[in-house]
Amino acid sequence: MESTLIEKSIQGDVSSFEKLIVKYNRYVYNIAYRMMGNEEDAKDMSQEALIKAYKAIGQFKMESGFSTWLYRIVINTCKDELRKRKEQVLSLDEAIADNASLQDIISDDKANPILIYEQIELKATLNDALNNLSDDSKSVVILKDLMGYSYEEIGEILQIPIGTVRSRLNRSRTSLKSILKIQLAEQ
Amino acid sequence: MNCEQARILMNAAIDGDINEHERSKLDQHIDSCEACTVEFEELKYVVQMLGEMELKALPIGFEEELHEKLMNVKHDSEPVKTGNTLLKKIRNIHIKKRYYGYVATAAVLLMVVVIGKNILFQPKYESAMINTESSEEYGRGSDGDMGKLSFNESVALAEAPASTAEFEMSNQQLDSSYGVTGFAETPQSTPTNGDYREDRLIIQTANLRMDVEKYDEVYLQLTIWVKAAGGYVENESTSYKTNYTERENLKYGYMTLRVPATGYESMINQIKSLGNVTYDSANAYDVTKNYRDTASEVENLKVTEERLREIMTDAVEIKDILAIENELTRIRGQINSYERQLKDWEALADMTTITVELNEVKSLKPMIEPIDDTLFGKAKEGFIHTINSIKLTVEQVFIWLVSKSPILAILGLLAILAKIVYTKKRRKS
Repeated sequence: MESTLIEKSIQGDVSSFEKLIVKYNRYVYNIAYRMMGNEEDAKDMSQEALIKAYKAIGQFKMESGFSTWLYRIVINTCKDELRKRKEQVLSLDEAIADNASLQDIISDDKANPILIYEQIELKATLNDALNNLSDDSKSVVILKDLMGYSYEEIGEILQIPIGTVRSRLNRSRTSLKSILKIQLAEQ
Repeated sequence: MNCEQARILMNAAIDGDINEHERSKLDQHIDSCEACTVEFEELKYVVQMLGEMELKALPIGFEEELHEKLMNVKHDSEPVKTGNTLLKKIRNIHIKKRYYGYVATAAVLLMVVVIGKNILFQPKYESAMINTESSEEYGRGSDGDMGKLSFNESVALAEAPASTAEFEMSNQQLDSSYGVTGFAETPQSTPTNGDYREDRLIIQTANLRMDVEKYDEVYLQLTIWVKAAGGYVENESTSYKTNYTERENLKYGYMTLRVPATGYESMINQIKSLGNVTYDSANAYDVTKNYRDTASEVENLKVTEERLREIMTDAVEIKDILAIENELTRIRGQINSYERQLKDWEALADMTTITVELNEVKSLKPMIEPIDDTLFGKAKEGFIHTINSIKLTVEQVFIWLVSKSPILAILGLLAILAKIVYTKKRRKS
């Protein structure tokens, strides 16, 4: 079913393409929403990504899953856009993630269990915290913890080795946790 | 196990990516280390929270908006499809980085040779291109200029007024001295606002490829007919076929004709009678629906505009006036762009586009030459010709090399310098 839709889409049939993406639309939009951090950008980016996918569907090779391929386009589209805006939006963990080792990040908050006691605030600030992650960290966390993909699938979507997925995820979660703590402390 | 190792295992444990042995080691460590217990709980908690984040619903109108954009993309991409894929193919030819230098050098050398050859050696093959874009100059040019072209003098002179006329016609500056009548009533009437066509709008195009015996006569005949029908030549080009011998100067060219849709059928039949048709295709594209949709869209927008103007008269505050003005400008812009589209369609439907490719042949009758000594004679002639051209080329290359040796020396020096800089850079990096 999906493959016939893909073939028709390759020939330029818009309605087949729409049928093909209808079940992914919501995930595409949500990935874009988490990557971009607001609804407006999420809508623009997800639509741009879907249009890109429509234009490039001729290059889609059946060997990988369609959703994998589609999400890769979405994430890359968002990352490109975020890179363009880099001058305005600075990420909090970028410097940490790039230059510091794991110990530097986690050294200071041993036995400081405030997170567990701040459940309600946590939910509210989680979104902000996500936005403060670097683009690469964000995409791993979104795919793993929000969408529930396996390491292998994430590696395929982001086109990085599984070892990198694993280490990037470790680092991102730790960063996310420290950002959350900083945000809670500020409140 | 130390805390650092434990922390790496924690993530694995949360994702279920851990074996029994590692798990028990991690549990042991966590039992004995308070900091890691907290860390593990926090980490689990964050991941759990992330998992609980709700999926957002698609915004209202998301799919409709997307559909519109996709349709736009579809229309935009259709005409350039072939160019695009070709470009992609070229891009897909991967050249390994370390070959860049060689490829670049080869390309530069090739360019130098080609340019040098063009400058130094008079090419035997000349072509003359006449496009409407350039025909202004061509028309203004003196007879002497035209003489330079390798066309027969008579042809060039015959063509000159014709092409001038065409050009001026297409610019709507009708000059009566050319005796062109009937063109004044070109059906490019611009519709007044709110006045739309009721009948079907069909954009017709036709492509013809023909073998003809006498290129120049056919060419003239075509221009005369087109003018008589009230049309014009949009584009044309003529060149000699790639002939290395100067014995037969056969021509090849194409013309894009715009003729009123009413005279289209008879025009096609007339053209076909001029030679042997080798290819014939026609296409009709019905834009009636699109046209009507757009027209009603314009009407709607105009109603909105009218209402905004009414509101404008009542508006007092500067803020409101500015807001309304903005909206008015936006709507006016939309109306204009739709109307332009409508006019384009009308113009395309009024004037049919016929593309004629003309291929001059010696004779239209199929011809089988007797196999006799002329075959060997031709072979001999060809052989001598080839030998001569090889000799000539070698001579010319030699002369070129000697005469250009100073430049070549400089180029060589530059190449060596570039190579040194390149290798140094690579070594550094």
